[in-house]
Amino acid sequence: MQASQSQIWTKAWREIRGNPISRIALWTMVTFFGIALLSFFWSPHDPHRIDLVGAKLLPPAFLEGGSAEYLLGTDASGRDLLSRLMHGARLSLVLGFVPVCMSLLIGVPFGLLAGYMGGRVDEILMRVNDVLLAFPSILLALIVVAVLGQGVVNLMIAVGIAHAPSFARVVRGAVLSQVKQEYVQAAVSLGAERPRIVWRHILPNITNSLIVIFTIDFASALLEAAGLSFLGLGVVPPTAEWGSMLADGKNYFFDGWWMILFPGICIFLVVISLNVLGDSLRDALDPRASKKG
Amino acid sequence: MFSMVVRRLGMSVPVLLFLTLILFLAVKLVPGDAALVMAGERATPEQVEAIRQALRLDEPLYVQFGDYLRKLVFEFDLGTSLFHERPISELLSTAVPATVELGIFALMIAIPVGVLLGVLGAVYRNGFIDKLATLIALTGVSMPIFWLALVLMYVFSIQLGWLPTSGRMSDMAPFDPGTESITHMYTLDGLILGLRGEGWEVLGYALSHMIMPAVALSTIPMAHVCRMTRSSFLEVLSQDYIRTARAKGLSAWTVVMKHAFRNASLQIVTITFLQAGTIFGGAVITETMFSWPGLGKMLVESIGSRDFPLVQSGTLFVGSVFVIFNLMGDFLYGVLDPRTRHQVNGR
Repeated sequence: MQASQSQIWTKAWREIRGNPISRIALWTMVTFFGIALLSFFWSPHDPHRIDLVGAKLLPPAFLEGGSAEYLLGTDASGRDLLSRLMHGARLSLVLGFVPVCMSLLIGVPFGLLAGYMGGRVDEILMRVNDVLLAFPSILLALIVVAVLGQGVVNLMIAVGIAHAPSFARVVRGAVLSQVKQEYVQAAVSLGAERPRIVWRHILPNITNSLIVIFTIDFASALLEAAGLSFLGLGVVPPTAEWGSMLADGKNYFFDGWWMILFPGICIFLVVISLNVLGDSLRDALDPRASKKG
Repeated sequence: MFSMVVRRLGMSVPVLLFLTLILFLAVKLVPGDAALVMAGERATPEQVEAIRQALRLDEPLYVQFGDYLRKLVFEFDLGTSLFHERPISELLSTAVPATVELGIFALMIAIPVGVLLGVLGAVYRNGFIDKLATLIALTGVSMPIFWLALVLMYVFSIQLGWLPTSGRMSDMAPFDPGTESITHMYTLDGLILGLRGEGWEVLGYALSHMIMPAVALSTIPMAHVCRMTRSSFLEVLSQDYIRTARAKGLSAWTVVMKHAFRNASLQIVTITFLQAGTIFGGAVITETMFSWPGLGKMLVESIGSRDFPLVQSGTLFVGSVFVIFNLMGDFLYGVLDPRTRHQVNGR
């Protein structure tokens, strides 16, 4: 009954390899992670170096008036767009990844508790969870930002809290379906303690669902964090991040459309790749859910 | 079924109370002095003190909360906005229709397009059309609305000059929204004016302002409706009674439209209710992008201007609406699928 970790990954890998679109998505993600790592060691220019005289609003190199020195052009302060995108990849990916890890750490214990305890505990926890789920998560994040103030760390906390309820719900559902299984009954009758049953038996069996929801929520957390930064409630301007770069670019519609185009494409590519990967992982790991979705 | 309805309604009272308390405490946690913000930077300490007295900010928290709750429940008094210096209920009365109008138009795009793509995907399962529909749905959920909004503005307003970039009504329209609006939904106002024989110009202006925000907002619900329709049709199409209908000699399209569609339609309504929160989340960004004076834009601005009463009451309003929507979605689910009636609460 219990699937080992290596089997899960083999299954996931086989599914992704078998589907050309998933393969492209995987490579896109690998590329972006690679670019983000590369930016620690090298980027064509300093992403913060301002050059208002020589390099203000240069178009991309492949257009007339572009310079080979600045492949994707420069922004209104003369900063190199490619370098900013590379550095932005780092922060934007972190802004999606860290909050989802937080949601996982908050949501999973609550889901386990609700699913395993049942009864009153379950009822109360799930009612509160329903309210939080019904609440637009961006609004939840806005309130957290309003209370804690803006900034990168608060933005991550905000998005992390906003996504925790969906983890709790999925985990609870998975636990409920596991509790009735024979292997849990067997463990109970052998006298295993409750925490031990949850930790050793139930948790490994819901890893599949967790991997799937982690991937999909990674995408939506990244999108939300970029949106909040775009609204000016997250990353503060001089720092390179895709959402705030877009906010920067929106004032240069006429003479700097590339400032809008490239960060948007980056966000879109990462989010769509994560969604594609999430879908194929669901097909491979969670066949029950994939029929519905 | 009836007992479940009563039970769930009973449950939502403590839930709403809890929400009110949480929001109240959250706003109290905000660093910064409400009286100081309200009085403005140039106020004398005496003025600040006077405001503090008037708002009873020195009272213990439970007294303040009791006060807030009493006014809320018995007088429907949501407080006064610090920034706009007007009652919040008055601000809501113009902002809510704006958001509702935008939401309705977005759904009027999302549902037909989503259903069409979903049905085509299910009927031509795994074919080219199915793959295309899946791709469109995937693009819909992955597209950052704020970016799509910028791209739309760039193409249709700046390059082509077909549509206005922002706002709800043109200055050139023979219509002053501030004083002449009947419903606060300008398309409806335009329709009424048109039917009265006062010309269709206002409706035209209202619609031209509506198109881009509605399209931007429709992408995410469209994707959800498409996925849901596809899977629900696939399920229905594999049922025995559909096979029987086909065996009777009914054409494929009759089967799809008469049998499968009826089954899927209630599900679409349900998902729309359950997804209302997501749609509103999109509206926050869409409204801000297109300077659409709705609830979402108002809330974002209230955070920027540290207008705490507005943050608190506005969010409470939105939260309550979604608790109710969620409840309605659950009921519809029960109506739709009798099997879940007793399981809605979890078991």
